[in-house]
Amino acid sequence: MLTGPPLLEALTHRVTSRPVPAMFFRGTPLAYAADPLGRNRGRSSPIAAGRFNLLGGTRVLYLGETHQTCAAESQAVGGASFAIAIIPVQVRLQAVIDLRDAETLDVLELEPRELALNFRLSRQPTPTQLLGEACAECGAIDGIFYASLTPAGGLCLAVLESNLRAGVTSLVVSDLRTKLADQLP
Amino acid sequence: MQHARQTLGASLRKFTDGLGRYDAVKLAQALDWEQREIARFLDKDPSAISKNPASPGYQEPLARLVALFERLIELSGGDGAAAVAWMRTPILALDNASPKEFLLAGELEVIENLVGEYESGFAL
Repeated sequence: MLTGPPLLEALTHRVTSRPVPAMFFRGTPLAYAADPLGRNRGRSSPIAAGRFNLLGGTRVLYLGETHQTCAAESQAVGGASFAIAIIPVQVRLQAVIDLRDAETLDVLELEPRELALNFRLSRQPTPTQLLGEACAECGAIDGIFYASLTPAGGLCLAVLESNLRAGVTSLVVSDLRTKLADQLP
Repeated sequence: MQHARQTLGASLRKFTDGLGRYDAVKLAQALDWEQREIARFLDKDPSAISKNPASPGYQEPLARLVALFERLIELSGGDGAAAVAWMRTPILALDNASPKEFLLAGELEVIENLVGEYESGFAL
């Protein structure tokens, strides 16, 4: 995969992105459901590493296209041992890149096998973590589509919170029945 | 959550000795581990654990293990059994190993990070 300035240049000028207005879902332990967009994370300890962010790195919120995808992702990371909540999130993004697209992978010089590396068991930052951090740094990308690595498959969306722009892009949770409500930015 | 904290407080007292030091044998019982397993976690001989289960040298790793257990109990709404079950469940994100296998192999940090991930939403 490209790194450093060539990666930032590719993200800023060459990679294809598109707007996404859609409903996605966030799977979270029920114990954290009162904070549906995860505002409190990182307050008492560094932001945990994720597929598209380093430990203590940029804030990324991980969503699934369907509640089934969220359930499969929950099970794959061991979360299904606990009571979980799957929360609908109204997504409005302006520039989402799609890692299922061969042309996007070509531009980023990203190999499919690099997408499947398990960051938890890697001693080095993985390409996807470096990609997420670069997307946050370049400021031009606010989301990344990627295929779920669970046996069930499905589409996932990593949202780069630092690149959300008030009045232009947003994540909204609004459930009248439970009065669960929040919004980013 | 208040109830969970009270339950947890009572639970934590169960695996300390009279001086408030973590007792490896009591903690092993709470986690449903064998004594040789907590010895492996501490990288010690099981006989050493039997002789002095609350050794000052064990306090730092035991405190981290208790903190992890505490987070799991919070996630499970105060259900210690669910936390114990989670530790022995194979997890795809860990290449189908259980958290316990990582803990016994000295990879406590991998498991601490995995639990930390849950705050950002479940994602493989």
